[in-house]
Amino acid sequence: MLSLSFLLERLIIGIFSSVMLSYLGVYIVFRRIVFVCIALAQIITCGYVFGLFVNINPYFTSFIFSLIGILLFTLNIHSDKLPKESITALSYITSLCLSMIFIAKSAQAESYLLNVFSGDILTVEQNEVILSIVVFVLFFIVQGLFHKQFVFTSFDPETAEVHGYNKFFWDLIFYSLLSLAFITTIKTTGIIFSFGFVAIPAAFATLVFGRIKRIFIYSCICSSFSTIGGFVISYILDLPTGPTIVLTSFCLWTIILCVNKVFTR
Amino acid sequence: MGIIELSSVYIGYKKNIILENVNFTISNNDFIAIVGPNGSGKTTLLRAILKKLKPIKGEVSYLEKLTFGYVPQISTVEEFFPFTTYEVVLMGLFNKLNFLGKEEAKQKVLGVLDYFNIADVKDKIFRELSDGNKRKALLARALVSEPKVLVLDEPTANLDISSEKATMDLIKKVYDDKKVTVIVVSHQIKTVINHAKKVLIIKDKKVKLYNSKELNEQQIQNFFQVNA
Repeated sequence: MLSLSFLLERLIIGIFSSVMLSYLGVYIVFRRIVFVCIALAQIITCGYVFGLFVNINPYFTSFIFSLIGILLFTLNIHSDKLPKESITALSYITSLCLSMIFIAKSAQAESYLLNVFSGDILTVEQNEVILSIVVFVLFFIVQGLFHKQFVFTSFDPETAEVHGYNKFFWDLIFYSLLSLAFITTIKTTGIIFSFGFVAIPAAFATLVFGRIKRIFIYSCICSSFSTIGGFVISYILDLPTGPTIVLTSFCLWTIILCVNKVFTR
Repeated sequence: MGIIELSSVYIGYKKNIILENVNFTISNNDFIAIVGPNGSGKTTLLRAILKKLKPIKGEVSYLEKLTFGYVPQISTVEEFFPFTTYEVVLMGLFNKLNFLGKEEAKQKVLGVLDYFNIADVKDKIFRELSDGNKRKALLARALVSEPKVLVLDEPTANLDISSEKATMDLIKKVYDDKKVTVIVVSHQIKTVINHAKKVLIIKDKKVKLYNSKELNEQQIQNFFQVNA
């Protein structure tokens, strides 16, 4: 039987991750870069399994791979002959295939296969709990201090530049924060959790709440509740943590949306 | 006295020169229209004026403490963000919010919304506004910080003739009331000729400044032929 404090620590990691991802998810959904972010998450996952493959700290290799992804997407590399989506797809499929190869050729990575995708929050070590807390605090300090810059460069990058906000620089910070959130979730809740939380809360919150402030706030609140619910369900039924939490979030938001539709008729 | 001066300026990207040997001066309280066919380099010139693009050669000099208000094309704004009209206009004061009190900022935003007759839609989501009100909101945002120069990129793009005229009339009203220098980009000379004091025509990588009243019918016809 696991101790309550042990479980609580892991639950807090899940809540922190879901809150960070759903907060960034609001920008991601409205900027229409969901697939860009999914590709970035896949590149980081590829870095993680590469670390297991070559027997280097996987957090270090996922960080290096994240830098490649960040540069790829902030530099806005594209060809006149090729839509930007194609580059996103290319980076996604290449990193996915590489991940599969690294997993297939590494006994250590193979044993982590399910964890990488669906997470295993119960095997998280103490230093990973601390890392999650540090990233979470750093994340909200940066968001709190530079909220205006993120808002302006996301909504109207051209005018923001005239006002002195460098789009490239703020995109770099944005993708760096997102990468940090992804890196901290790979082992704990898995990459599917990241995919789910950048899209589900923001998309549903937009359908239910019309105002941006409410969308930010309720995305984070509902993500916390669905993480708690999903965590409990996955523990009781012995299900993979990440997908269970994501599906709980989907169900919770579906209920909220239906209730909202009924009462606003 | 010029507030913006371009002398022997070459503008482009990397080694691809889009505009060469550009020389002109923008004076205080000028109303200048930059016109040229699609792809002629209007936006490139605008980027150089707005310090977003460094000239390959030559120099763009500015009067000290020159501030810009910028109105982009609506298509470049990420309209999916559900910001209210009030919130959009407030963005124009983001640079000043540390110095302004919350109440002062609010009064400035409400004042400019009132000036453009869109105070009644201040709580409406920007995306849900009519095209005319969207343009007014972006104009309001550009003016809320009381800039010295107002720059508008294709404000009449995708509008029918009557909406074009209404938009240009509104810009002229702002010019008259606020005493700002106005730089407006358009690919239609006939849209701006009656409102702007000066017209900068871009043709074959060259830029030439005309006084609107000096432009004769033949010059306008030549422009139309290139534009057609």
